[in-house]
Amino acid sequence: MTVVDSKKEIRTVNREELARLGFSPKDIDAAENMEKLGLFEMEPSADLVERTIARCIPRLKQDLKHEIVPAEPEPAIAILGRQPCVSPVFDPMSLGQGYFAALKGMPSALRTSAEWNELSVFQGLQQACLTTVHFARSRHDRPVLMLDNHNLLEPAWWGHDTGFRAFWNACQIVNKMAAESGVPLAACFVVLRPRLFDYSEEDLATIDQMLRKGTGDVWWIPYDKAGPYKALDLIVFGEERILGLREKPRSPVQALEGFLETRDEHVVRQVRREMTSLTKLASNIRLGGKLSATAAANVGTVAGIRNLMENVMSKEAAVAR
Amino acid sequence: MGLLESISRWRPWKARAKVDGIPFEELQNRYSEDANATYKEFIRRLHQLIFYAASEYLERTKGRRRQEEIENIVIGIFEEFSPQFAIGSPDKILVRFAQVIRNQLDDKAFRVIAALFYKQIPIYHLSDEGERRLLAAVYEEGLSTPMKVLADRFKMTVKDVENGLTKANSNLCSVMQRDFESGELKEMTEGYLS
Repeated sequence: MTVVDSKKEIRTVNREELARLGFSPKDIDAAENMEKLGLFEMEPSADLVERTIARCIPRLKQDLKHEIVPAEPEPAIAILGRQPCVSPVFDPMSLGQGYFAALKGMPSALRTSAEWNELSVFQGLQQACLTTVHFARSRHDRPVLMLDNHNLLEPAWWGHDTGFRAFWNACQIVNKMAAESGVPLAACFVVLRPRLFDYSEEDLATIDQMLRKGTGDVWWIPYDKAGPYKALDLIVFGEERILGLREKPRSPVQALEGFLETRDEHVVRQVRREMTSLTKLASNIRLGGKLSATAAANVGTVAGIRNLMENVMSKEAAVAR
Repeated sequence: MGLLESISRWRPWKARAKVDGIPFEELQNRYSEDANATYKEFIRRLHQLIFYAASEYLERTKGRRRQEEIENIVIGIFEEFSPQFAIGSPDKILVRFAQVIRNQLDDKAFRVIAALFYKQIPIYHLSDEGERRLLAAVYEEGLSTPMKVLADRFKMTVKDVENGLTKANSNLCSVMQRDFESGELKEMTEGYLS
């Protein structure tokens, strides 16, 4: 049965009005032609979309074979009785199963809701990061390149913000997989702030922690040497996409929501090449998973990080003199 | 470094933007996640223009225009395209769909809607959701929707609708230059846009 709108709208093409609103003459001509042919005298039924999709569903390729179906759950009390209380709380495998099971049962409307979109924005970075493993293995190249600009993102955010920490953790997973496959690790080019006293104690403590616990290759670039990179923060995922920030966000949330994206493969490849050449401007801090001798002598304390930073900055100042 | 400054295709990072706001060439990526919702969105965006093309075709070839007959053709076109939706270059999704329209109707019927049909590609690159929804609605309905009707539908004043459309059209020109490389739009639209 077709449902026809009872309140029929009278449609007409108003050339002057459309031109005033900025529509192109070519499009207005097309619309006028449609009107002349009498095409606006009849409108689709209100339920046409529903009827069409209902007819198309059997022909749509439904590939659900790879979805993980969770096993019949054991009673919680039985599991708790066997489990020692250990940290971390989350078991990634069961978490993954739960995630896919929830996704499978989720109504379409919820998947297009603002809440799901919000959740996805914050999960997107780590998902994008994990998907670079295939690129790294197949191309024998670094999975992720980062330009971590301390002038745009507060170093302390990497320590206390869950979104940033989750992304950093995803990078460590990718590095482990890259190392096991014998491919180069993720590279991070850090643009330092102009002066040492621009950093807070918390910033320096976080930097120390990341150097001690991280695995990727790291270079530090003094602010004055960074040239046009002074005002950019970039993450390059394989050869698939670049995320960039060009303005300083006020908060970690604003940072994660404010990334701009480009997926032009040609541009991504060129940016990868350009970023790799940054090694010439920078001091190496960690390579192949090992801290440089100077870095190794300084990490472990905030004072040490301050010393290391001073060293990199003064090297630049000495060159400038 | 000139390269970084010249990146022209920056878009807001929305790892999973809502399906009704993503560009046509990205719809295919959503297909594996939720085939029905994605294809339904594709149908929603285009069914009205296809309805007009089918109506023109029936009138010209059979000298009659019946609602049910037109709608059966519309359904048949989407049905024929459904197995192909996820196959092929995402950038050419509308070109592939146009071929199906020509198969079921003919080139003349497609030409009637072609300009408005292909304009949908850059429209879904507009970053302002309000502007995008307004302009998409107007193009879906053949530029024939009275401002008052749009105002009621979007719960806006007529003045706001007019201002929104003016801004949307102005931004659309920038989007067409900024988001697409030279010749790219031409290829994605069989030369209808360049």
